[in-house]
Amino acid sequence: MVKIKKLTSLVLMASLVISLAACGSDSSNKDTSQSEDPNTTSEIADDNVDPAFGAYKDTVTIHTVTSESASASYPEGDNVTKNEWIRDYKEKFNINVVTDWVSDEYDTKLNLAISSNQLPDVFHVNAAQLQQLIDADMIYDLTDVFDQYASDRLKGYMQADEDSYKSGMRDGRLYGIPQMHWGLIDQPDYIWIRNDWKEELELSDPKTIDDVKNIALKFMEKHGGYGIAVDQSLEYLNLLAIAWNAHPGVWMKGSDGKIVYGSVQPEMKTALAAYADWYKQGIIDPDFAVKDFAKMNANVVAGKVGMQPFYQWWGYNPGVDTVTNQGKDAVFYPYLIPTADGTPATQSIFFANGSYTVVSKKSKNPEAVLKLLNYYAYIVDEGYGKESKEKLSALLDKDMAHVVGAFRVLNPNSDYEQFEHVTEALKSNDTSGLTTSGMWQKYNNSVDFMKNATPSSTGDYLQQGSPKPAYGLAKQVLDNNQYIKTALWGATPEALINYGSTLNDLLKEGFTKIIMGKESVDYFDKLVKAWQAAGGDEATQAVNEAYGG
Amino acid sequence: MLHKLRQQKAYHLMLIPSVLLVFIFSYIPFYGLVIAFQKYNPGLGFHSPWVGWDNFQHVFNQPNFVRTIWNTLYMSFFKIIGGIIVPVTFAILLNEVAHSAVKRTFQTLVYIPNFLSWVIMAGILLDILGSDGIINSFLSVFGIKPVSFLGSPSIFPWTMIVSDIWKGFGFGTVVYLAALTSIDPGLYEAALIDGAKRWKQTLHITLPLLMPTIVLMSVLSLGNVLNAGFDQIYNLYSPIVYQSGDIIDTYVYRLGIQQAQYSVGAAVGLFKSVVSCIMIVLSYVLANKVAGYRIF
Repeated sequence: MVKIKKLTSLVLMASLVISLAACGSDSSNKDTSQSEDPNTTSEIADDNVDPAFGAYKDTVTIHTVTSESASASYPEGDNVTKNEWIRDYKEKFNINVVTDWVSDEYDTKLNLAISSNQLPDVFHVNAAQLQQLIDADMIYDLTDVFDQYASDRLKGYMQADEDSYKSGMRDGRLYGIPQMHWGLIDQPDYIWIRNDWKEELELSDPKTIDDVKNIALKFMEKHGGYGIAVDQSLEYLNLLAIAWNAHPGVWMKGSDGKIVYGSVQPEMKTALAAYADWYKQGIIDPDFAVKDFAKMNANVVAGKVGMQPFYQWWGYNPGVDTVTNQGKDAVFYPYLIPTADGTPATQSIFFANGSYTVVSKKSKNPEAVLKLLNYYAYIVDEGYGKESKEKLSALLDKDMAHVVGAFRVLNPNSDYEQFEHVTEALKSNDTSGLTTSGMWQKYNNSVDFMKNATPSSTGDYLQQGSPKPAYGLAKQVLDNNQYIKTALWGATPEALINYGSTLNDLLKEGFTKIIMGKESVDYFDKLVKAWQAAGGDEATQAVNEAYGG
Repeated sequence: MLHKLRQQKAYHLMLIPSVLLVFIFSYIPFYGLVIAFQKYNPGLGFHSPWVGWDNFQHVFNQPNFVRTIWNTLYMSFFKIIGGIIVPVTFAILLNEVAHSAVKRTFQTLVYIPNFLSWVIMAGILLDILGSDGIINSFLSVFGIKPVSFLGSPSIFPWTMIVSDIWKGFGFGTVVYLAALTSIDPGLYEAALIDGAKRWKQTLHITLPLLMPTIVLMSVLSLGNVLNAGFDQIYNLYSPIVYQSGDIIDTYVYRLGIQQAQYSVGAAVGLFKSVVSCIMIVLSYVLANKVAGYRIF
């Protein structure tokens, strides 16, 4: 009995101590972080000859967190926390990168880490988290560090897309380094048409939106089923809206100079009227309202439908599966979405930068991350020719280029330049212009597809190497300025975030009813009023305050 | 009282670890409810700015929120009712099966769907219930036009109710079967001597003796009256059935959780907990008053 009593009290004591310790660490950490943040950089500066690429004398350890990259395949024994990149960081910069955790639910897990004040030194965040962290004064003001340590190439990235760069700032100070994107060239949208069907019926390229409809009708006559594959999200169907000069989802300048929401403009009503008519004729999948992305693609892959409004990456998904199942000739080719009178439609361009690299205020070496970002940019853009083939392959191939989490920054011009060089090389058979490993990958895969019809090469081929490459059309759109950019270029105003997706869901539900003929087209006007009352007006005002004028 | 406590000292001591666990993991987190009244910023934690009832107002001012309450109540009401009637009936019928191997096989078979996640079930249901799925192909044999089980606002809630009961009734069946085995066989023998046939026996012996278990199960399930099954509906609904299929949880998911709006989520969670708590107390009191059944 006495023993039991002792044991219980011991257990009780232990649990009490643990819980007290857990509560205590929170506040004590906060105090130290506030007292020690100024001038931590000065001592390191003179350690290095070259601030951008020089190695540390003494090993610097930085902690980070990351998510699993599903598509990457590692050599035996390696993983996302232990790989060629991590070894290079140690070898070239004497920086020891320690990964505290890896999670598929990265954002949720990071939010937990933020709220328990257990931030790693360097990590990547989304736009909302960036704002919260600045509010809570938890991340480092990187303005000076960036000026001093960023390579010219990295600074060039920021100049190439100054809007994204500024979205990482508050009051002129840089807190988050935007991780950037592949460039605006990947944004224009297309109507993809199955090529063997089109040639079999000797149809010409669509010049007007009525041609698109007629091709669909001809396909249905010959192959049965429905004409155009779309899904319940309306995301893909709405890519076609630009044919009627509607820009759903885009915050655009209205006639009076104020910013308005594209989905509730009168042009959208015209587009919906056309969709409803197409639905009635059976052109649009009669089951689209209950199909998600995978179900939409299932019939494309099965060869039951020959048209799909889609992005430039059709060739990767569902393209790869389509070629695997239906053969090389079944590839779809992209066509620019035409308007009713035959001019190419004005495309919608959205803000592309989704994540930022930030440094915890508690970090002792806020400049270390810049060396690693410099290194990433160097390897991707300049590595070819300067580094050995084996080295580059180990760092970049098999999606290894995507495993570096916070230490990644993309060249916002990369896809545009890459495409120019790849087309040139394919045309002339002269590969001297291929200067990055990315260019070589696209070139090799395009050649591979033409020679061997390898399904896994379909994506690169249709994007850049085919006779009708998606990027060829996109380049045309960019070069001729045939696009409008959304006004929401950067962080989303809070008033809009507070509504989540409910405002768009309201429209989605109403639009679906109109398309399916459950409501008349005039229901659109009622819907717009409901949207305004539900918070649309408030959101519009907030966007105008943040981005208007 | 004190004497009794001293007598049972050992038992109370043994109880302490579990009480402690419940206290640490169920009661201390209550403190987190404060974020329902704050504009929560993970970086500031519980020291985020206070906003009073703003989060509640924001949610309840959404034009489509009220209909989600109605949809939730509608679906969970029928799910609870069906979730009692079906397994009780099935358990009684199964209990009549004399062959024990057959009985066990059926018991296992109906229990299996219970273990599959809704993500998997949804994939299967989408195929079965599609316009060219098994059920509609079967119906077309009789000249019935394809029914849009998942795309028609009037049918969708019933698809949810029926599929949920089908998936879950195996568990209830096992519970009721267990209760049935504890009924004294002597009672049936006595009834048989008095001339009661199977039906009369069921009515006057089986059901009354099952009642405490039924009441217990219903009281427990009433606490879930505002959970109409997020997993199931989230995986099966689409914009076209929002009007009848959107429930509180799916709506709040789209309103707040996707964008990490913790305060809104906490506000709705608190609202649901309060309502559920009232429902449990109410049903318990009613069960005690009307039928005279108590759990404690």
